[in-house]
Amino acid sequence: MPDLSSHEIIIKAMAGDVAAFRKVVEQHQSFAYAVAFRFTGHEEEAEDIVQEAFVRLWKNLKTYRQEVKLTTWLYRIIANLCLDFLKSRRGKEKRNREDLSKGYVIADHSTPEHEYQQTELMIAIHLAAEELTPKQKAVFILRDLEGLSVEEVTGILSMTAGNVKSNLFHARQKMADKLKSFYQTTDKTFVS
Amino acid sequence: MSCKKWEESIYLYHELTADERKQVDVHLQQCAECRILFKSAQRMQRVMHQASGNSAPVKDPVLLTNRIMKAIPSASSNGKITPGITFLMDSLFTRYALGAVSLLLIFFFVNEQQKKMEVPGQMEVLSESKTSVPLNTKAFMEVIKQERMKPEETSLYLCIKSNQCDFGIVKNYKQRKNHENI
Repeated sequence: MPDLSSHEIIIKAMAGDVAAFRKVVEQHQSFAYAVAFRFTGHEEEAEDIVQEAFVRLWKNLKTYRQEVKLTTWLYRIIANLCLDFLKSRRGKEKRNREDLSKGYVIADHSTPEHEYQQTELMIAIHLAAEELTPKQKAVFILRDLEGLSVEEVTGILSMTAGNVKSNLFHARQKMADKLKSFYQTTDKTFVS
Repeated sequence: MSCKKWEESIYLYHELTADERKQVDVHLQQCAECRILFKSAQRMQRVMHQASGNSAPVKDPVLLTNRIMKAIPSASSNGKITPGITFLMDSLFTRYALGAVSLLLIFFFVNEQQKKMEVPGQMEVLSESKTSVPLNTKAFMEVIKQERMKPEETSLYLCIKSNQCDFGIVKNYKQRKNHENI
């Protein structure tokens, strides 16, 4: 396939072009997987969610409105699938540290010590987030870890701004409590 | 805690409007306890921001892409007709319209049936035929009796079995048998 812009690729995929859709998958699967992994903390579960998300995207691509960013649409599909997963029995199971430590790649690996500390931080965040309700977790991940705006989160989760803020407050409060105790017990300090 | 009402604003500081933030700032200047909470919350936010840079990469991107492409409905079924039908069926309007058409058809069917039942001539014939057939057991038994009195019809099998047949092939067969016995 010649070099086409993302917009042209989406237009082709909307027309049923499988090769173009493959390009869409290649362009967005890593972001989709990263989001799914933040929710699930498990490689296989995250891959299953990503697969299902793209199948849904393909099936509904005809109804795609181009004024909405494709990533926003994908976020919505993934978040809904992840919320369903978190409500399921498998979603309520505790994740083991090994899965979590293997899953993340630390962006800043300047020193082995820093890398280790960051890996531990990711594990701690994930384990602390297991105490949140599915909605609190979704809001927390999208706003604090994915860095989306409140407006974007309201659109993705179909919630009111008030609802998003309320869930975010409770999530942050719980996370602060959990992470405080984690750092006290392991005698590590947060980066200042 | 007297500062409970400020707690939410402290945790949601970056989600507040400029005016709301100013109010929080004024309170923080007066309240040491809230200043500690604010610092802690801000530190948490920085940690989360740092953590957001660490993400989970796909182990084998090509394998995942292939898996996804295998899972999507085939290109042929997605080409021209099926998506059109799927798209139509996904539309809420189409569903309601089909539901309405089904209801109309059921209504017309029931209505037609009622009309048929209401045709006066037919109803009379039906009712007459029901009431005017007398159950004449005597006549019925007479017919049965006559049937039983009739002589039994002879079949070729019975004829051969009882040795009463005396014609054609049977006769030749009998003669040959007798000859053999002698």
